[in-house]
Amino acid sequence: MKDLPHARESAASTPPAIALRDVSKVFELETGETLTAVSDLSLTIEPGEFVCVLGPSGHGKSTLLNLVAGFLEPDAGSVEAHGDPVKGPGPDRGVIFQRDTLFLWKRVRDNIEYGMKVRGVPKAERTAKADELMEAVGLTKFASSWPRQLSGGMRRRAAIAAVFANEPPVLLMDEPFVGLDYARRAVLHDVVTSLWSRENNTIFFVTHDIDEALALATRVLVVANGSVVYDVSVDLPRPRGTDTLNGPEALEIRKSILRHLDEAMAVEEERFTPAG
Amino acid sequence: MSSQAMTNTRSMATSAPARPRAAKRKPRRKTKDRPLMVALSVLATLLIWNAASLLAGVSPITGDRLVPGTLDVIRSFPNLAYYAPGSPDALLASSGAGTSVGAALKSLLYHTGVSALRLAIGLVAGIAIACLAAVLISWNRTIRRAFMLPAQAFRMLPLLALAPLFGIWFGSGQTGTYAYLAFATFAVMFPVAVSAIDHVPGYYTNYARSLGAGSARIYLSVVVPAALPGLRPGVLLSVAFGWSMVLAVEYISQGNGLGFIVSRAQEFSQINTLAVMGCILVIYGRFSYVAAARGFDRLVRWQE
Repeated sequence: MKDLPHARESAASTPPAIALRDVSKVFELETGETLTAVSDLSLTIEPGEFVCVLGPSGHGKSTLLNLVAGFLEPDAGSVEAHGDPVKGPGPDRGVIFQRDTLFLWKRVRDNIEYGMKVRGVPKAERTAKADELMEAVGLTKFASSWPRQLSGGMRRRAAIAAVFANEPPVLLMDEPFVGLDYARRAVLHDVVTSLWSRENNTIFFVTHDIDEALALATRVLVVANGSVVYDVSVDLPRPRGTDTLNGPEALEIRKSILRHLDEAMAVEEERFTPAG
Repeated sequence: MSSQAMTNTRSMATSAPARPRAAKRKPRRKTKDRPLMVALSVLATLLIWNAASLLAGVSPITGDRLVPGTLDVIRSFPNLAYYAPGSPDALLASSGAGTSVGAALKSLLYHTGVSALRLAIGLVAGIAIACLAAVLISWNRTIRRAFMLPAQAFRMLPLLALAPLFGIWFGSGQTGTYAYLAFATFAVMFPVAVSAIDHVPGYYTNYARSLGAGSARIYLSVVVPAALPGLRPGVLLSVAFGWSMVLAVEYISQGNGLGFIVSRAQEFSQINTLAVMGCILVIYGRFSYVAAARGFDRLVRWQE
């Protein structure tokens, strides 16, 4: 990891948004086998970065996100957020899940205000923040709708607004736009990048889609066999339209990512250890 | 964020579909032949019923058909007037003399009111206690799992057979009746409520935790409402089963209510009256089931 461009030590003044040091996570399967999902991984993400994590299915991307979120504990190593050890989930690390987690029994506005209410934000402030976010994600007309009354793309926007409303310094997104068509994804990419630019938070975004990663990220990680096998900066200009994403610089990054993904699949390590 | 980016976001976001995908639940699909199918099934039921009536023969004691036909039921309806409070002995009902449809309706209304009130009190108390108990014991996963086995065992209780026991414990007054009905409802609802809480998806809890919610708030504001739709089968079963419970307890120990009519009609071998009561209870059961289903669906109208 040390010779990868972004595997850097935290700056002395501001602690890194996320820091993992020699982290390992092993799962015991029902068959008795063990699966090493994350293996001796070290990673530092600075505040304000938009990091997209690519990699084959089952190679540790979501486990990595769950370790940072605090839903999982590492078997070895340490996970820190803003310089403090992660001891569980917290409002400093908002999570947007692949699965739709909007509270079905709360209207859109109440969903967006939930996190603020939990933190004791006064009602007037909650209302103003919710109004502002609903406008930003284009859901003002649907403030009083139940989640079931929204389309898939609108639900995703509501979920994004609900998490952004809590103003988390770190936002963890686990394949949040999977299953949506190209047009809806484009809208959501714009929503997320706009909110990210405005809030200046750190985003850790797990995806399978290289184009999505190139459209969003300031940095792309390729995770395979439980390790970061490639770490690259994406300094493409924004907004990243079709021309930018098909330009020579983007194509070069895409080629490198694909090469590392191919290599990872070709030399798939023995992560499964038989029982006994 | 730059103003250009923001404008871009707004224009793209607002260009998304401006109407909800489905503002209302999908209406039930109506087929053209549905009325015909309903008419055919009613006709078939009437045919089978009356054929059974003809084949079953006549009671040697009363001279009535052992399985009353449709006309016997209609003709016997006015006899319910004999069960009105202060009316002559129900034995007279066999003669059918001096009765009218109006008086029968009045009598039926009285006994229906009495039974419905008992049912409502039993249901409300039983459902409330069952839900409260489930919420209390489900707070802790280990305790909840420990209670699952006894909760499931409640399903095996012979509830109808327990009715006399409540008469012994609480006497034959209203207290015993309410206690029994509440207990019977509790026995149906409690395992359903525990199971509903147990099946709330973990991702809701994780999501709430990541927003900063503490355990108590998550339990009350997330787990409990998320479990609400899971109560539907228990509520509907309680309503459907409730009529049997009310009938049983009135049959055994009460001097009024629909179960009292059944008890007296059976005592005097009034087969036709028993058949009338059977038909009435089928109608009440169906209506209360549909009303409960609609009421519950209204309560969880947010559900997908």
